[in-house]
Order: sequence, then C-alpha cells, then structure tokens
Amino acid sequence: MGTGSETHRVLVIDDEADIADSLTDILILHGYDAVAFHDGLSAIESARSHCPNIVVSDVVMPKLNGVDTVAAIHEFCPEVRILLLSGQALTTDILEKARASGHEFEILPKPIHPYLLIKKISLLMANPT
Amino acid sequence: MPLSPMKSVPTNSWNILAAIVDSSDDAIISKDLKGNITSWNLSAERLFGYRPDEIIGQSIMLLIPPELQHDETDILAKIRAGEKIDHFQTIRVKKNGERMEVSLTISPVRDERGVIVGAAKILRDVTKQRKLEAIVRTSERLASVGRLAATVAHEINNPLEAVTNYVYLAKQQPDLPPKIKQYLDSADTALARVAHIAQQTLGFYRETFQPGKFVVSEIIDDVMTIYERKLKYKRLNIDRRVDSGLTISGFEGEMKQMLSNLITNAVDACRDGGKIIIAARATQQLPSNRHGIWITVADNGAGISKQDKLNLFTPFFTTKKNLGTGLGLWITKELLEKRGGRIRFRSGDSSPSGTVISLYIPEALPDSAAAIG
Repeated sequence: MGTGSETHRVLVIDDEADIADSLTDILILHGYDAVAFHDGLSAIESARSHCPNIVVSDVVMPKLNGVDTVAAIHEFCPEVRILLLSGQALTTDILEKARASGHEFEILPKPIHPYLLIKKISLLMANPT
Repeated sequence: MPLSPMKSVPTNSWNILAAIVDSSDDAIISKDLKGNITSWNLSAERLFGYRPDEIIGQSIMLLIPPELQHDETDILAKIRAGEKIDHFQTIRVKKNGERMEVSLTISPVRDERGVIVGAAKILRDVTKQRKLEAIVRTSERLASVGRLAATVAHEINNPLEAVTNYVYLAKQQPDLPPKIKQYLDSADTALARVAHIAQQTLGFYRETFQPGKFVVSEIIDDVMTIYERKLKYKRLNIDRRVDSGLTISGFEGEMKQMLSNLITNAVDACRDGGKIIIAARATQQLPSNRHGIWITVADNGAGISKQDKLNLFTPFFTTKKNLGTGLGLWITKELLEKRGGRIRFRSGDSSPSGTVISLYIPEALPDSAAAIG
C-alpha cells in the first residue's frame, strides 16, 4: 500500500490476540514495520533492544496496563509516539496516575476504524514530538 | 385533656403523663375498640391538621386511605387479642387530603381490671426518611450503572474492533470478486452502525476531542441514519422543522447521543404509520439573555402514563421490557444538566396521546465541560 514508511517501526500491544494481530497485519499492509505483542512486558523487552517509532497499545490489560507499558517504553525511547486505544471509558484513574508522573497520552475509543487509525498514525509521524 | 385518668394513677402523676404525651414529637392517639378516637395529642394535631375538638369521637377511618381501610379490621382484631403492633409502615391521610408515609406502633389499653378497652397509637411521619432512603438507593443504582456500562462496553467494543479489522483486511485482498467486495462493504457499514450505537447507548463514551461548533441539521441527519431501517419498517412519517444554518457548540458525541435517545423513544412509541416531528430553533432565555437552542421531538404514539412519568428519568426504568436499557432519558438529562441545559416533556395519560420532549441546550459551555480532553 505504501502509505507509511518502511523505516517506521510500530509495536502493537493488545491482550486480545485478534486485535493485536489484525492491527499489525493492517499496518504491515500500509508499509509499516509492525510487530504484535499480547502483553506489555514482552513489548518493553522488544523496545529495549530496538526503539520503535510508534506504540499503539490497549489500556486495560492484565499484569501490566497499557499506560504503564508505554510510560516504561517512553523512559528509554523518548522520541516514541504513543497512541492508546480503549474499549471502555473508565480508564480515568490509570490516565490520572500517568499524568501525575509527567506522562500525557492521547486515548482513542475502540472500535476505531482502521482507516482512521492509519490517518492518525501518519499525522503523528508527520508532526515532530 | 382528652385522656381519662385511670383509677390507679394519682392525679399528679396523670398531669405528668399528659404533659409527656403532649410534648412528644410523635403523634399519640388513642381509640376505643369500635375504632373511635378518644385522645389526640399536639403532634397529632400538627401532623394531621385536625384539632382535638374536630376529631375526638370520630372514626379512625378518617385518617386511613380508602384502599387501606381493611387493615383497620386486622389491627382491631390483634388489639382485642392483646397483641402489640410494632413499626407498621403504612399510609395515612391528613386533613388537607395529603398522604404521608408513617410508622405505627399500636398497643392495647387496659382498664383497671385488665380488660382491653381500646388502643394507643404512636405514629411517626417517615415521608422525609423514605425520600432520603430513595436518594441513597438511586445513588447506589447510579454507581452500578457505571460499573455495568464499563463492563458491557469493554465486552462489546473489543470484538467489534477485531471484526472491523478483519473486514478491512479482507477488503484489501487483490482480485476480490465484485459480489464479495459488495458483501464486505455492507458488513463494514453495518459494523460502523453497531459501533456507533454501542458508543451512543452505553453512554459513557468520553470524547477525546475538543468541543466544536456543529450544524444542527447535520447532526440530526447523522442520527437519523441509525434509524433508517426502523423508520421504513414502521412506515413512520418524519416531519423536520429545523432552521437551516442553526449551529450549536459542544461535543459531537454527546449531542448525537441526546438526540438519538429521544428519537429512539419516539420511534418505539409510534404505531405503524405514525408521525414524528423533529424541530430545532434558536432561543434566547430570559431574564439571563442566554443564547441556545430548543430541540423538540414529538410523536403521536402511546403517551406516558401518570405512574411512568414519575420514573421517567430514573436509571434502569424502562417501559420497553427487555428491549430498553432504561438509561436513555437518564443519560440525556445528566448530559444536559452538566452543560446547564434542561429537559421538559408533555404527554397525556390516555393512549394514544403522543409525547413531546424538548431539550434546551445553552450555546455557551460551562468551563468544566470545555476542559474535558
């Protein structure tokens, strides 16, 4: 498809494998170097060895939630762009906690149409952090 | 003093007892075994509005609503048997016809030989207490609405996201037969509608965008697309009376949600071939001179019964049995009040009388609403 850039690495994190895998396929189709993860810890491990350009993550996940995951990645990959997706609105507590420790993240409601997500990601990549 | 002293009580003690009775905050009433009132203290006068000279000698039935008068037979039977009735919750009627919820304790009164000659009632007005309990119950229900919505939203939105992605991926496959492409396009449209409805009706969709200015007729167009099939199926006639160019500031999702809740009720209330009027106009509220709009949705459907009107804005209250969530009007009112608007409705008691619901939406957003990000 080629709307993205070959060099842009995207980590897609969602504990629902269907969502992580399908989103990854869509991003690959649009020319991104996308990799799927089904938990936050393995995504952090991957980011440690190779900083991604973008992280697209679910918020409510077992073990490590999405906000703590992206905050951890942001610590050692300060240039990374973050996009959070959530199926429920009651994630305010998690976001408030992140805000208190200096992290401000944008959160999009699920379901988001792939067309809009791609548009959002290319906008994020076009704007400097 | 209406109470007659018993032989065993010295006059001095009787005066003390009478003073205690009269200074009590509870109504203290006595009656004979025929149910005629024999004494009436000051609190009874204050609660019911009858003076002692008006009520003493009258039947206790005067204080009991007609539909509960059979209770008195049971009460008198228990008293005759020497039983006490503790904290009986019931309704009594004041002199002005107003009803109050009361808690009653009734004990037999015996003469000096121990023979039961009547009953003494201690009665407390618990109307306020009941109202407070109702408020507590409502707030507990509100909290459970929040928890339920969060769970349901999560369970629905995640699979929707996955299916939307799969349909998108399928559509990207090269050399798709035109028929398959057409099926996938239809599936995509249907999914978008489900996603929209889930976000609208579950009601806890937080906007991630800043508020904007919207053309009211366009918002109505968007909402009407959700109901296209239903309108066609019920052959409903839609009369739109919306000023062109009318705009309103706010969060798009909230505006659509409020309107959609009104329209879905109107559609459900209408019989086949019914009519719905959707009107919107600019307004200036006096004396504040606040600018805003009135949006009105009127139907010629079944109307709302007197009893249902009392619960119209209570969460989980629905007349649609399993088809309704009972959240629509409650959410609409919450959203409106959050931005300083209000809701009003008019509906007859007899069916079909139709219902008219209007929303006043002020143009200016409160500062707190503009800060939601």
